[in-house]
Amino acid sequence: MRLELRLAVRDRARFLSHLEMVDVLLAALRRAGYAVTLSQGMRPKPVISLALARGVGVASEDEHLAVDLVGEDLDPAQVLERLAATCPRGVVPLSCAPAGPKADVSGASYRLGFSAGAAELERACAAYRAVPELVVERSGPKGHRQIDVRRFAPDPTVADGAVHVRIAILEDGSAKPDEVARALQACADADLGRAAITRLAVHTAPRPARVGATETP
Amino acid sequence: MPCVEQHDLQERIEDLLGYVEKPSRYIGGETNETVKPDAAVRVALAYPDAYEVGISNQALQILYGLVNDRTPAAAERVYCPWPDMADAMRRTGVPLFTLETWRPVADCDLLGITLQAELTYSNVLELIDLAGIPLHAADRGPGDPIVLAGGPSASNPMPLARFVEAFYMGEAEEGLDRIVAILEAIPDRAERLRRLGELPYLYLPAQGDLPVERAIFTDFAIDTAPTHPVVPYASAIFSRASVEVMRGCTRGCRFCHAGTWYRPVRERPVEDVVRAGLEQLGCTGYDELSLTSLATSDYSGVERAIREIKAAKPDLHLSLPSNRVDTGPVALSAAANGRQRSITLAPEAATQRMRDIICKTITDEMIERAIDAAFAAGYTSLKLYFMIGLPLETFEEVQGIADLGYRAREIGRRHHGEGGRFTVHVSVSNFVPKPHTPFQWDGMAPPDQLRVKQDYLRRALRGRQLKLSLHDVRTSLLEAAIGRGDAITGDVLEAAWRAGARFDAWTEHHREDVWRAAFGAAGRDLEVEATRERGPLDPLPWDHVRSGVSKEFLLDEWYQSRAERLTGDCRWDGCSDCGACVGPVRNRLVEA
Repeated sequence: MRLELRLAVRDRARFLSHLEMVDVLLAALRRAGYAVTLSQGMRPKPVISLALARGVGVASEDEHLAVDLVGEDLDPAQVLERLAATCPRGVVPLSCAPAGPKADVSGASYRLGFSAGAAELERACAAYRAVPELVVERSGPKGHRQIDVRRFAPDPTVADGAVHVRIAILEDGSAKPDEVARALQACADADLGRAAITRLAVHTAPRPARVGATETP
Repeated sequence: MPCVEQHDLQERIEDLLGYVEKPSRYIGGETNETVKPDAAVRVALAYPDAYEVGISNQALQILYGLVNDRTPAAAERVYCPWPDMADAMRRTGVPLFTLETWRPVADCDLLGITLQAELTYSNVLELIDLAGIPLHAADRGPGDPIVLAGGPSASNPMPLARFVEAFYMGEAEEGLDRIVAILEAIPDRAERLRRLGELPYLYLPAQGDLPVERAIFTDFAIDTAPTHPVVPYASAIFSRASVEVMRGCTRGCRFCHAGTWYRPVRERPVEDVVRAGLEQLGCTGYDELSLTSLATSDYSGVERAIREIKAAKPDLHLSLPSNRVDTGPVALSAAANGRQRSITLAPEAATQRMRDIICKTITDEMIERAIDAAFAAGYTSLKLYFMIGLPLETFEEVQGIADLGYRAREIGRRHHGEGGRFTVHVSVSNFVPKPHTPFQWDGMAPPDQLRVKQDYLRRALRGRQLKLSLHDVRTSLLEAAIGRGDAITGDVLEAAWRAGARFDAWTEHHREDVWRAAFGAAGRDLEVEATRERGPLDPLPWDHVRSGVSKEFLLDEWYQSRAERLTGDCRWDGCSDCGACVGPVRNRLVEA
């Protein structure tokens, strides 16, 4: 049975990497007494996925977990309850429901908590929005890349003393929330401090039908 | 304002985690972690290596459970921070902290460090220093935790004697509660040490080299096995449930430290093994269970345990490490885990002569039968484990390893075909003499000689379906020089650590130049120390440590090795008078 769960990742658990989190969730499901369906083929893998990889150190209030559990008549409420009892500290299941139609992730919203005051943050956001392009450098195993974060996150605003920003996922990629934080810092007159980043929501859009595919009733 | 300070420390730790490799090494919070924030006595249990190595260590998991479940004290875990984190901690003034509460190790009553391998000793100094505890025991004051070390490598405490207040000899289950009781009842540090010094299994270097007895956990067979180990994050080297089915081994391999240090044999009842295994699977979420011991196929209840566990969990991946080389154990492994495609056999030596010297009671025929049984059972990866540099070794023994590798390939081809998809992995390590073994008087083979033999094997053993792996001579050399070291080795250790040595077992961090310079500064030579032979009458640095096995027995075994004669296993061939069994201490076997 395919289920969709929403999870929060809080406190120290935010330092778990994406793969570590998948492993933690698999073990928690086994402890809760559920078996995860294995994929077909030479090297079967558990059918489980987190919709959008979370950066190490980023907390989240909206992780989307899709998992296929062995069995057809599972009670989502019971899965939620049992999983809540077996997840480690900081990993909090919030809801569980039968999986709907597959959707693509179109973006995510973040809260960037800086130590600077609201006025300073307002000025930084205004400066950010005023420029047509904000390029930051991304370093990785394959070398360095220039990312224009303004294209993916055009409209940071201030609310509750923190910066809120929606970052889109486009065909050619996306920006990371810490890159947006760096760009904001570059636009600021003063030191904003280190950003405590929390993912507030993952946004999805229905997956477009494949060309030539026939719709089933 | 301790709360404010604690909050400040937590924020500073979080700041560091954003910049270091694998921050999950430092966050704690794993399933089955125990937090006792209000405990009056706090014990930091440290493994002097990275999280992924330390969390996989069964001994520390046992101690953690014992302290937290059976005493009022809180046990919290510490692993050696990786160099990037250690450097960042020093730069920002963050002291070593425990994973459970992120509180400073220096605020604990006791820092207990397990010594599982000599190559972690530089990390012991790293841990003490990062904690902000004075490096030398003599410089510590009333506010510092007592630094206590235990584990198998503590059987020669002398290289670390300057840095550690107390060494626990033997199996900690026996006396852990007494140590906690002393810490609970007595607030004064000096008085705590005085009382600890009265325990017969604790060696306190400050009291001089008084005789100290190894503690033997006589209740192993009746005590319940641990059932809720901490479940590591994904990076651990072992992620599986494990039940220790048996402690001790009396097969008497003359190179083996554990074979002496954990005598006699004590077997756990099958019912307890099965119950603990199933409970662990339930509360950890693992899909693999390992039945561990020094030689699991020797466990009298192994067949019944496999049968009952498989009946309860038919799809379970059940593994039996450390098996004897024969058809029976191979069949057991196959029965335990039908899906597993690889198996390890450890003949240790490839010729009958050398196996007689090291007292490995297996024959050429048994080895070939075991290999045949492994391939017949469908295994496609066979690992054969050998040592080179053993006492009295000739080139024939080295050639024998290559010959046996080829014989294994021939047998494999009989089962899988000439071009069949199978591999024979020949793994060759270097003999390192250990204290409290019959070979404690022998030196390690000179490194140049070992390298020549390794080169020979590289040329002699190549071809399809064959793989050869060789152990780094540099790390073996250091292990040998430290393992049989004395108090002056402590000077070497300190000099090497001050010059940057840490994580010596990790190839990327091993600094041979630093160690050579440190030995030189102490007026010693690394190779001379590692290869030094000692006479039967020479005093040994660990003579005051009584393992229970008499020195006379070890010396007699040394002579037996020179005569190329085997000694029987006392479980089946009668007592060999090693001295380990006294009063309630004796072999305790279960019904098959």
